[in-house]
Amino acid sequence: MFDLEKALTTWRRFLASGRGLDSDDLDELEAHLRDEIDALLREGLPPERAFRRALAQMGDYATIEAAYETLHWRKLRHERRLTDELSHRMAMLKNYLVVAWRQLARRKVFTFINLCGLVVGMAACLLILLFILNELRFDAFHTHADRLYRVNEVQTYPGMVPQHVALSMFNMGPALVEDFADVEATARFAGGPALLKRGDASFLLDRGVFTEPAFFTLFDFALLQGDPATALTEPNSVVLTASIAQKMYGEGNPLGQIVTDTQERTYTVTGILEDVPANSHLQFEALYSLDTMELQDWMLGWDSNWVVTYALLREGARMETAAAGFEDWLDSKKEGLSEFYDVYLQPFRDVHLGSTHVTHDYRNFQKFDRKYVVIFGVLAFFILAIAGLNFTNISTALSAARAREVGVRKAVGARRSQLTGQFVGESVLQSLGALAVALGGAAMLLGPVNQLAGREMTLTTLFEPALLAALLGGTLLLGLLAGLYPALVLSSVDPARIIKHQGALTSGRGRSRLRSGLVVAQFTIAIAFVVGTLVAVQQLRFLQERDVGFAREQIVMIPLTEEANASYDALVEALTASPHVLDATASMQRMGNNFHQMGLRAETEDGEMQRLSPSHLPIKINYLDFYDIELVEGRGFSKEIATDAGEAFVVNEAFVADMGWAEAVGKRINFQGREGPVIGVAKNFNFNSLHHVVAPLAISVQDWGFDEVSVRIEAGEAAEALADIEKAWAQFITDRPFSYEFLDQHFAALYATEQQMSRVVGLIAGLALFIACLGLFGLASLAVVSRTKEIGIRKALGASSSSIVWLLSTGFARHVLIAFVLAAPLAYLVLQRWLDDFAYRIDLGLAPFVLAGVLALLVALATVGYHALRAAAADPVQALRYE
Amino acid sequence: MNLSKPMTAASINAVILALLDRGDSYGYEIIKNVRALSGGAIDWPAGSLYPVLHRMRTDGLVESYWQQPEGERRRRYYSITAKGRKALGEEKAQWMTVHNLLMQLWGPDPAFGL
Repeated sequence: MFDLEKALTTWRRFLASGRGLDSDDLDELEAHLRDEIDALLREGLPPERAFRRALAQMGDYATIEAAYETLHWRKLRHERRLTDELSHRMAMLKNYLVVAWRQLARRKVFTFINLCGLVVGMAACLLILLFILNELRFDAFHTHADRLYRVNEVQTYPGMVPQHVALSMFNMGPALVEDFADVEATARFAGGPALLKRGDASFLLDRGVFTEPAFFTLFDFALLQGDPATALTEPNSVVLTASIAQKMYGEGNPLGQIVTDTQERTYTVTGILEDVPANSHLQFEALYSLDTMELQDWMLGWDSNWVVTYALLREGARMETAAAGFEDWLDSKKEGLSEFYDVYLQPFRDVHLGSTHVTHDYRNFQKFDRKYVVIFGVLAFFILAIAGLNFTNISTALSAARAREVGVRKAVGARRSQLTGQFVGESVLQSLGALAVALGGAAMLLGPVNQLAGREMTLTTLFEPALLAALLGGTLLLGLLAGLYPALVLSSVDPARIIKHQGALTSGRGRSRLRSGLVVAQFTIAIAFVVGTLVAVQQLRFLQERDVGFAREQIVMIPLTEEANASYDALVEALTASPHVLDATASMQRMGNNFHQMGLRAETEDGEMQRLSPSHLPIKINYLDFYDIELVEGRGFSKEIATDAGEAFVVNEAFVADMGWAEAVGKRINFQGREGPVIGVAKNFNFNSLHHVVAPLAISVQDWGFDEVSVRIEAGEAAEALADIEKAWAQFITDRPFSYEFLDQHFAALYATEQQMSRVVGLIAGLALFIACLGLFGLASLAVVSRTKEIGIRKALGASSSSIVWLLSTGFARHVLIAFVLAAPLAYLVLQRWLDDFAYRIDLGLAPFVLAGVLALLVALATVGYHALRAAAADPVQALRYE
Repeated sequence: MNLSKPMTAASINAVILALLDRGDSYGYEIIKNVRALSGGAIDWPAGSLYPVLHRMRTDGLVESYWQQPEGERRRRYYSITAKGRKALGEEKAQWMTVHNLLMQLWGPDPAFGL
């Protein structure tokens, strides 16, 4: 039965909750409403309809409230009571904060889970962000960076796959400046001495290069002392970096001092450079003036590529137009040159991230693959997404427990916007707090990460105003998004229902479905990451353990100087005298590199001599035996046959295939004017990294001097062997300290980018799984709590503990299974593409998928199982008393 | 026809002041009178009238007092102040200016040739 008086009282109380209306205003509105109702009653309307119609005529509540609210503020300003009102609001804010803090403190475990996930995710993201920024800003510190280019070539010799190289011809640089108006200046680099002597003291440098005066025009490497205009103009000048100068001269003034290299060339120190920053692909400790070099005829030829050339284009010049005439230009230098060479400009800023296809790329410090920068970015996004989902999920779940608070707040007059603001504010504050902790965590982890990645990143990068603003903005947005859903759910609560039922918000079906969806999303990402890690590890192990066709274990590589080359035989004799050393040999270049290509002429099946430029490895005569390289035809080199040194050739199967030879042994090869027979065919072995297929290769015994000696040592006796090697070294070589590298280390370094990538993905996969499990843990515990009574009843009716565990676990297992179904094809597609980069790759099998799925399931069950077991073991009587 | 929101907002002050100039009144009666005088065309929701009255009171254009006539309920009456009369005069002048202009433009016999 409708009670008009009661309805009016309720209406009045409702209006009274607004802050703008005083009791006179209420009286006035009530009088109006009553007048209206009386009029309608007189027209014969029943009381309830009269009440509703009159209420509708008043206009909607929000408009009235807003109008009065505005007036209220005007009045306050008028009466100078604004400060009172503000202090009132501050008190309310304080109440919000106190309540929020109590909530967090009361549910320590959940708060920890919730914030922990967010902090871990954020810290990981910050570190990845730093790395990405570091890579993107590589080489950016040069003023002319946007006008700088590296002169690259595509070499297409017969007998080889066309290859991009970072090498150019010696005369190209000056000719470019002369012949092309768009080219303002060029600077060339060539390898220089890595050992300098001041008097009797020797100093080993990491890198020394020859270059020319234009270096200072092109680049911003700053001279601390000396004049950039003259420092490199005279022959026999050297510019040292500050730290090497400090090492050589201490506090003394190095300028004008004389240093010598191992070939007894002398240099005057003409300048001191600031140390080269770590984010430069050009690295050096000493710059020698290019004019110091004694150039031999072959070095000046228009088909010897051995320098790295950089070009500075004029302002406004475009790369495409500048490079337009290169083909004709090459032919003008030497007839038919463009048949074998294609010269192009590579933007300087692309050198670091965009040179994976470029070989003979020896001056590209920390070369990285842009693709992996993108992958890292995507990973960062996903990890943040997982952490964010977690935060939303647990916050929503927890909010159910706060329904009563919301009910009370509403009953005493809180408006929906206020409640939404309160909850969103809480989550924003939490995420800001998480950001602060994450920054601290990132600061602590930066050292190890720098070591892992081989970079020198600093956290200060993050405090650039624009970046900081973006970080804070992103965090606010995250807090907002994470808090908005629970806030809207909560503020829509019907206070009467909550207070009457005395209980928690019964989670609606739709609500729990959303939460399940979030868990599935998290596990999808986590499973995909785990599969990715497993496959990456599998592929890397495959690369490192694959039989490359030669023996590479227990081999120590020692660089040879000219002096060492001169006394090579005696050195080898001393080395092999050690009981721990098995054998020694030498070659021009070490395994694991793209061997230099050299031009030669080979006899075709028709008996003609055909020009081609295969990779060519000059060796000591025992090299093939030393490396245990298998021959499929003919024989290896022999000391007994005099012509084997310098004339005979062993070629690989790829060479034979390229020439189309039916019978390889006996074919003639002419190399640098000397002609000899092919005496054997080596089974293809992977002298280059496994990114590449085996290229045609010619092997000959030459007496040119060698870069390195390879020493095979007795397994398990590395320490003793190295001591003996060093002793032998000291006996013959005085001008250079002993240094060495194990060949397997060198091979591991070939896959450093992939190795780093797989470590990062692995780490992130772990994190993703961890955070996803935190979320699951939280949800499972809530599910168990909300089903306490159900479980109690089931047990009271005779359900066994195991059936309870089963009941609780299977629901969550289903989430993981759905996630697996979503993740598997996704991971499959991405990984197929990644594997396609390798010439030698594993086939994607079922194993990593099954393993990842089982792992995720086990981890999930272990997480849920804890709660399920506890619930199953609980006393049903307690459970029935619950609530 | 219903008056548009801006039109209501522009005219509400003038109408209230004009009505109160003829005698004190209260909210419900003001709405009733406006409805009757406009032949039902102008029907303000109470929600928009009371805040306006409230503001006019703060601005000193009207005064209010409580009164309970014999046999009726207690109501808040409004009366126009001297300042309100001045404001009404100003309103009247402005409205007449607009009115005259429109009448000329829309009149059957324009005062000036077009």
